[in-house]
Amino acid sequence: MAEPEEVIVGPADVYWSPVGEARPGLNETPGGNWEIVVASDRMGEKGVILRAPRTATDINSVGSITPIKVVNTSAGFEVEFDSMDSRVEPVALGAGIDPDDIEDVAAGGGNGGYSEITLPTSPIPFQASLLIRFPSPHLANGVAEYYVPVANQVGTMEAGFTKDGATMITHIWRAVNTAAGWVKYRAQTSAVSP
Amino acid sequence: MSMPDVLGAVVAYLRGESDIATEVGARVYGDALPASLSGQTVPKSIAVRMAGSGFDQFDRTFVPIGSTLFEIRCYGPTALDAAQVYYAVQPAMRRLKRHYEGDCLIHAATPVSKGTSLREPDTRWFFVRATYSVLAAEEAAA
Repeated sequence: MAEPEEVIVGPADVYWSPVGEARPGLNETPGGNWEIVVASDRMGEKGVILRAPRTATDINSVGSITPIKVVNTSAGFEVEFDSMDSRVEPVALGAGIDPDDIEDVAAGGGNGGYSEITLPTSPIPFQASLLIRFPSPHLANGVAEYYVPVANQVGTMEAGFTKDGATMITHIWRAVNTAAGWVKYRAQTSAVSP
Repeated sequence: MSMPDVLGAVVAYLRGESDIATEVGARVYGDALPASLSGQTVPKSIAVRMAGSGFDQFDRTFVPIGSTLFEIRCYGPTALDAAQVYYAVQPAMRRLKRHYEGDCLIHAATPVSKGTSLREPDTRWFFVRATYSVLAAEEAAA
């Protein structure tokens, strides 16, 4: 008989780290250089959208109107979500800026302290590793995740400031296949063992 | 096979929330308040009752998951007391996600109508009425 946890409802949590950071164990809370981009309680209504666009081409033999095989001619992976967290770091990530480039200025001269970013001017997008965490569909209270070793921030940041809506930053991260590997999905199937 | 007791699961979930326990203790009940509370005034307490709802996207499939509308009545000796109970219930229901109570898996709860201050016609008790659409599995968790 099917188990009810096979159906996943609700937004995931999205974490990031600099490229090359070790992937945390599935039952470890991401720590060290892994930080949350946006938690599910700061996520917009559309949640987290994982998209694997693919182009497939039919191959026909001479004289045949029906395909004899199909080949993939391109495949990608994108992560998209809206962040309602307007702190400087998530905005920097949404704009494609390395949070290490945030400038923290101490209070002084009649002004309070502040953090500041300069929007990107480089043709090279900001790259990071991503973890998208959500409940395991195999196990009650288990963990599942997508791991993206290298992703480029390609979203067109748009922050709306209106009377009747929260300011949201749309993130679109597009994976690239490098020596670090390609996108992986794993889901916990049994209890934690020492 | 019967589906899990979602009403009982919502009652148990609310009883287990510390902010709600601070307001009402263990006085969270299914359907209606017990006869033992039939005084001139009513202490802070909560009654959860099924309130129907139309079919949802899952009812058009064979996937055993579905939404039930629950009316939550937040009682208090005064209208302000009833509101304070509601202010503990609302965030607790909003943050309800992927929660197991026994064999019942509740996926999420969505407010349908937020708090409305009312009085019981017979007893004149103050209460705040709110409704939530609760999405839960209709098959038992192991």
